[in-house]
Amino acid sequence: MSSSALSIAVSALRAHTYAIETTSNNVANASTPGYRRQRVELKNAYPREGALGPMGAGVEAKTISRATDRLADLRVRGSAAQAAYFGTRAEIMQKGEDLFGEPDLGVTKELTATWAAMSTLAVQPSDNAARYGVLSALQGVASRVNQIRTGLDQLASDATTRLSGDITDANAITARLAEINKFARIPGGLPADLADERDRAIDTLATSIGAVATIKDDGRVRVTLSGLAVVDDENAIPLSVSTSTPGQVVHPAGVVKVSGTVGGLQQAITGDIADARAQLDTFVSGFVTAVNTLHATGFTPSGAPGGPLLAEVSGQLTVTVTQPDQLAATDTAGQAQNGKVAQALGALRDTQGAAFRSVVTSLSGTVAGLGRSADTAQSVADAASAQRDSAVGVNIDEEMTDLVTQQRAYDAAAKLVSVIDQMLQTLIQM
Amino acid sequence: MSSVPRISFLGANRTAQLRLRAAYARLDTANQQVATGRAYTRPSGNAPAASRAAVVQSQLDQLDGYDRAIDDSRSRLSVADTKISQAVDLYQRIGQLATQAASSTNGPEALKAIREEIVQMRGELQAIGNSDYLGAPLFGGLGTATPVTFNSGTSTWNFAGAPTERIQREISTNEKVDISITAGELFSNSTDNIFAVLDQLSADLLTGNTAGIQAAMTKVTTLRSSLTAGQARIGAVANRVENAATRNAAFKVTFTAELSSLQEVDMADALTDQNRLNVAYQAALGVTAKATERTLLDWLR
Repeated sequence: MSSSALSIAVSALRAHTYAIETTSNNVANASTPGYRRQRVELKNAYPREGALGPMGAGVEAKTISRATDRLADLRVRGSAAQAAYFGTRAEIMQKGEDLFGEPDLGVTKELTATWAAMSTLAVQPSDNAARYGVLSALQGVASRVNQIRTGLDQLASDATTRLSGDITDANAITARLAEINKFARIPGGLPADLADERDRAIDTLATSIGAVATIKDDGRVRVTLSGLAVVDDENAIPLSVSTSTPGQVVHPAGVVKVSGTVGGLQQAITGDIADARAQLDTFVSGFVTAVNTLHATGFTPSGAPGGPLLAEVSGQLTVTVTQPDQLAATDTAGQAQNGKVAQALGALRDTQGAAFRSVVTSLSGTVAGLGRSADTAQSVADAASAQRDSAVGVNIDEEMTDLVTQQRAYDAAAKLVSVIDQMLQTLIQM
Repeated sequence: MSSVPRISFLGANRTAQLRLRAAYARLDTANQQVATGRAYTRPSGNAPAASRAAVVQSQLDQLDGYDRAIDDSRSRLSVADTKISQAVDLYQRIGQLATQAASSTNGPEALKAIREEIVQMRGELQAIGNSDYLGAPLFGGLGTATPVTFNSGTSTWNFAGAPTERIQREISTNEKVDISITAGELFSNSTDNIFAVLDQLSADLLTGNTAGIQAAMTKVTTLRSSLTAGQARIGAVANRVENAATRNAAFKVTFTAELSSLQEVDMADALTDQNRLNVAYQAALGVTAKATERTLLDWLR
């Protein structure tokens, strides 16, 4: 009688010690990101055969379970990939917008100076100072345009470098996940803390490349990217970056579509930055043609027809005319006081000014749109993440009430031991 | 269990952080607006307003260009007007002298003195015709050739610059004015020019040809009307320039006001907003501190 009662009490002491340890671990990790609260699963022990038939044999601490919420995981990962996609694009294109420096430090300001210099020359066609004014204003436009172009190219190349760095990181993570999958084979399944690491790694992969994970019952994970496996059982399949097509991510089985940060970088390189650059280039070639066409109708003070004033030399806008007396301001040879060509050049303000404004408006519209999308996606992701934290994280009040229960259960079991001891003593003294 | 959602320590913390961050971001925007006076600091902050502001700014720049043209036109027209007035005075004096000479009471000495003065005045008129403005001939059309010259070979007076050669200035949108007049237009008509008439007059004074002197008087009067017509045109153009200047100034006021309403914040609004957001942020900080300060631990003994 008493020995089985004693072993029941001991099983209770042991089980509640585990439970208190686990509670203590939960409290210790209350602010650990990605930690999911653990519970000791208590189960009544297999009954033993007694005189009265099957009798209870105490309590067993079966396993340590981990709070999970698969749906919350899916929401967090999907929204994080979206947030990273738009966030990355918005961040890069804001830098692009900074490069333009509108409205105070941009090409618009240089263009304004150019039109002003042209109209001064129209009033003072024979004045050398006015001619120098036009040339230096045009040089201002050229250098600002070239700076922006170099900046945009640099932005694209930085994004490319970042993209390949992110792919390298993603490969390291998939390799680690393949390794974690091996632990699923050990008896008792994947330990809770490794499962936490696995889930954190999947979160990171979702944010960086938009990978999708499926977790099997034994805890192994399979990760795919646009349907192609990157973690399959105990193997990781590394991704690489195409050397021929900028920003393209390649899986051994073919080109993959990525989202997340890498998807955002990809879209920035091939879409956003390239678009801004193309619009700027279109403006520049229109500007060069318009200025040169008008300038060719004019005559220099010596009566020579106006040559090309601007040119695009290997992707750089340059002012071809270097001497003020090569500027053709008059529309009739020999009429020194006739500034009609200069006036017509100044009137390009309407068409060329508008052309450049549309470049800026289109860019700022893109940046504003991306900013809004990024904000929305980020708030969705934040909400999903906070919700998951709440569902699977540690609530200290809960832990404290659990602790009270566990402590009282332990106290009661200890009391049982002392009662049985007294009973045994009574028996011995008889 | 119950339908009350579970809140974890980390989840509550993160939510509180997000709320604080959002409140601080709003306060930061308001601070920036107050500090810079700008409603947005980059075009994407308010793309439609920025785009409109660029258009308005370009209109203002254009008005600045018109102002430059107007300033130049004003001084050029005023110099021309002064010079023409001087010429008109000389014509008057020539008329008086010719009238005096035509009366038969003059002796040869008096006629000679009159002739001397006439020759002097012809020189003065030629100097007026060849006046400079900023280093270029004022009455020479679009070129730089000396406007009034005497060809001793053919014994004729020549005028540089065709009457069609006029310096134009754009003084307001689609409004161009001719701000120059040539010496030919001022000093000649279809049959005569003042210099040839004065040459003939001095010859007639030498010989005492009263009929010739009287003919010269008529011609000077006729030629004077070309001069005054030219002066009237200059005056009319000056009026147009002044009107354009007034109009442009009014446009400038309108555009500047629009630009300011597009780019700048209303300080009263901005300051009130900033104050309100500051109070909201402080309140959020206080509430968060109070809410996260207590757990069950504080009550378990």
